[in-house]
Amino acid sequence: MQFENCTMVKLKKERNMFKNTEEKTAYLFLLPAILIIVFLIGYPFFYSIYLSVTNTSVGKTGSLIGFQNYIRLFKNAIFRQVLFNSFVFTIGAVSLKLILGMSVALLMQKIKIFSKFIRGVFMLPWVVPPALSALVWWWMYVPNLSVLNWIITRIGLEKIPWLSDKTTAMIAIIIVHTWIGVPFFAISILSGLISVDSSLYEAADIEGARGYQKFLYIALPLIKPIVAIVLLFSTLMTISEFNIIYIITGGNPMYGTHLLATLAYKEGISTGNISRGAAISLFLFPVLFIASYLQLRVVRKSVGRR
Amino acid sequence: MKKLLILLLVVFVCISFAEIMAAAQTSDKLVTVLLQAHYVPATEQVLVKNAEKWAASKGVKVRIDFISDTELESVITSEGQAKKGHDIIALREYVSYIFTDILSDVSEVMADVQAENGKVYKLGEQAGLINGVWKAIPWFHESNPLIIRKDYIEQAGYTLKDFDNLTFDGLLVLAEKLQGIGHPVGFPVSMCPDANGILETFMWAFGSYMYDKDNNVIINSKETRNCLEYFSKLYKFMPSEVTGWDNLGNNNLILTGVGALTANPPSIPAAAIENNLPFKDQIYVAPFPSGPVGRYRASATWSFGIPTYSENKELAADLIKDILKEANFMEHSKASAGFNQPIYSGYADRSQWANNPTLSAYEPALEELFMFNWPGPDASPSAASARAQLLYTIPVMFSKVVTGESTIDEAISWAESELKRFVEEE
Repeated sequence: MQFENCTMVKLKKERNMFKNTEEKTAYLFLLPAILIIVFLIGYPFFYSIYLSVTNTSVGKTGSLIGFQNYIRLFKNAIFRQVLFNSFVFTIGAVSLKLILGMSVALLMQKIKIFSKFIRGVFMLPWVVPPALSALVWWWMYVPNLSVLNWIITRIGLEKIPWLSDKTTAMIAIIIVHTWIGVPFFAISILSGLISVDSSLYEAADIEGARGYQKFLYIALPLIKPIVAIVLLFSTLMTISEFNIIYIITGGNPMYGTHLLATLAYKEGISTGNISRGAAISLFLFPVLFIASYLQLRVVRKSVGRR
Repeated sequence: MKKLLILLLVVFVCISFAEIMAAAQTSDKLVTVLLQAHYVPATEQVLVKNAEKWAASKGVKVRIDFISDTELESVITSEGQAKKGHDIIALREYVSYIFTDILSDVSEVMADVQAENGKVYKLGEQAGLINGVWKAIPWFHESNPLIIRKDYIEQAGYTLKDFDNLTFDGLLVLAEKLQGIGHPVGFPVSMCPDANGILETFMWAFGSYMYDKDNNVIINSKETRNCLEYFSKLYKFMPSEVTGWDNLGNNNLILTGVGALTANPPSIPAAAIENNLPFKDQIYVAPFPSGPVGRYRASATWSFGIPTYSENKELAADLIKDILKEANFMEHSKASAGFNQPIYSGYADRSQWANNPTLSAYEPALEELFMFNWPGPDASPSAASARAQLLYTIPVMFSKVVTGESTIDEAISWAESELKRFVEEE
């Protein structure tokens, strides 16, 4: 009995040791990622928070001024406008990407001939460097050279002031952002649609379900986690858009297309007012944090139910 | 075997060490320069050629990085925060006031430069002399007179001579006629560097300014209202796209053959010649019209700065002196098709402008010259006026009025609050 006990303890110890070694190896493998997160994300993030509560400008170490920068931002008409622009741009672009991405995914699911080639071609806008895409679109919008306006006037319509009117300029940048982002939505949603068990559709067919009913009651609930993840990433990437605005409009006209990222760059980096730039860039952090948390919760719940 | 491996390793380490030492002994010092990409690209080649000649004479190496002028301040800020970067940096207008903490005192260099090239003009002094200390060494200025299509102007019934006495009221009449023949005038009313100086020229000619001598904001004035009222009338004869232009917008207006008149340095005629456009001989420079209180022309001024973190301050100073030698300056001024205007009184040779009928109105200027974002006759330049320039406060104020987004009073109040904010942030 004593011998048996002794053997059990030994075995348990060995198992614990093995478990510990396994854990240690796991931590070792995680170490590079942890170091990257700490030094390249964590340190700049906390340093930005520190900068935003100081009056630091280029070459001058500032002193702590509390939430003065944030209070000044709230009082500033330009900032309020840019905050509004950011929401309009994000809601507009993400909604468009979702609708078009979903539609394209459903279409691509039906295509059987050259499907791989078509999917590859469709990914091109997403693969091309955004700065290059933005330059091409700028050329299509720019007055006197605009190929879009050339086409529009050829079919007898009035020229569109793409970049000189606040509304059309906002529409112009939403179009470009959507053009770049739709393939990501489409491919992600398509992968979800393909993974849905075909027997479910067959069963629905037997029951006489129509196409939209199969989509609404079978496909959509099953791809909800994928859509939620794609929406989360897209919202984060859209609200922090920089390249398109910087290249195509430069914030014109009258700050009408400036977003938080471009304003933070302009105020913080171009004019050397570093603490104000940090405050602008951090402004949306709490909102985005809560949005991310809620969306991830939706994903976890959906996956849990499955 | 083990001993052999150790021996090989020792030999390898010794050879590597010897090579590193040898490389260190033979390598030259590298002087790095950060400049704005020139609107007349040929200028860059001349600068590089002259700098390399200077480097060879000193036994060092030189590298000039040209970047878009709209990127310049961002790179300087990044380098200033990292306390590492180029040995010489280009500074536009008043930005030396923003970067004063990372700029070396170059008063001694400036004394040598003025001894050799004559006294610097007032607008150069305003750019570089901060609280009695030279922080930037003026390099050249590029002013913004009118650029006109002679053939279109003649179609509207005018001659080049008419521009010598053209007033703002006369410009309104001309603009209406030009719009009538389908070749409009166009001035940028957008967030781009050119818009700052060009729109301020209208303000100055009405007696409207941003700051007084105590840095109080004085833009909320009858003069500013008059100016905005006038400009709203002029805007009616322009293409509506002027509110979305970047710095190339006014260039394209002329270079596409559409427009008849804008304000710009002579990069437009230079580009027309370079691209052999059919109307290249029709593009002329003309003086800016006069307003109720005077006749002005805005000039973008460029200076050199030596950052405090530079490890080659003496070499940097020597290179700047070399670039500013009259022969070198005139060589790259010629390469710029007359774009780079002299900023030192000692540069005597003005023949490239005087002998060229299309450019003769450019240099010397008939108008009074002031720098972009010149805050006012009594005011001292400051970081506030530099921030107003970089954040395009004046163009946005104009844009709000001409597009009807705000009334004149609302737009002025908005600009007033922004200008006050810049003072508070100083």
